[in-house]
Amino acid sequence: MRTILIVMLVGFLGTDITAAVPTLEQAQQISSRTGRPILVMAGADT
Amino acid sequence: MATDRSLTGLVAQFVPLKIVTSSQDWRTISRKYPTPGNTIPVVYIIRADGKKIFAERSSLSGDRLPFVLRGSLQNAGGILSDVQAQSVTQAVAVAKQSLARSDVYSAVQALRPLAKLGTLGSLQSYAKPIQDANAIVGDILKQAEMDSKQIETNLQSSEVAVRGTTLLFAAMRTYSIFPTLKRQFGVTHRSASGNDRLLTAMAQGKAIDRAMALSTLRGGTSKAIIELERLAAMYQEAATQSLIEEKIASLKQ
Repeated sequence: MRTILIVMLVGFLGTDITAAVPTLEQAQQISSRTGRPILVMAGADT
Repeated sequence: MATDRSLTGLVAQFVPLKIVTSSQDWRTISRKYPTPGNTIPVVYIIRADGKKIFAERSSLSGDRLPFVLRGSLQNAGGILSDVQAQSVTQAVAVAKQSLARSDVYSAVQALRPLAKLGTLGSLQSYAKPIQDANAIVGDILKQAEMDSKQIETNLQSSEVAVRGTTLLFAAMRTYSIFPTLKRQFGVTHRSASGNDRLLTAMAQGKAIDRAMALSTLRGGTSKAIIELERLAAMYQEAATQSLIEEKIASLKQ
């Protein structure tokens, strides 16, 4: 089971994600393979 | 930071991607999915086929985030586990290889386990393996339609009736997992069975297809050939012998 499945959300910027995939390309590959939608959170570099 | 573990299961159904607005990924996404305004943060939800199903310049605080996530999942189609995705991919690969050598029976058998995910040909997911599976089932259904027309045509002519009946029994064996096709070929079978003119052709077609079915079993090709040779010695009609010779040749390829 992928580590993505233990993702945790924390407040916002809302939504701080542990174990998020590092790149858009990787997210698209996983999404295409499994049908899971991509949850994109775009914010400023902090 | 306060952790909200209640959202863990919900978010696990997504592929989470956190990007910063100075990155190339942000440029790609903001170009492809333009969202009015210029504030951040921005939240997008993108379906597996690339369609944007949600975008908002907001932090989605409070109950809004789970609300949006649940709503988006309703429009996102079915989700596969990694194991399921791998199984479907392998099934589609085998089915494609089988169809490439005109072995529709093996193609259907390869896809058979996918029926537990829903109606074959209309599986509700935007995952590429499922889309591929739906497409290949579409090809199989087109082949079934061509088979049906060929059967109807052949059954009209006494000279090639045995080809029609053999194809009919093969179609009943091949497409039985598709309820509509099962009914369709069942109707043809009942009609042909009640036609005295087709009595011999039906008996011969059934025997020839039964022999061909042996070839689908492990190590069954030689048994199938022996049985077909036995039938060739038994049936004297030139059209039947010619058909059996073709079947034997196809098995020896």
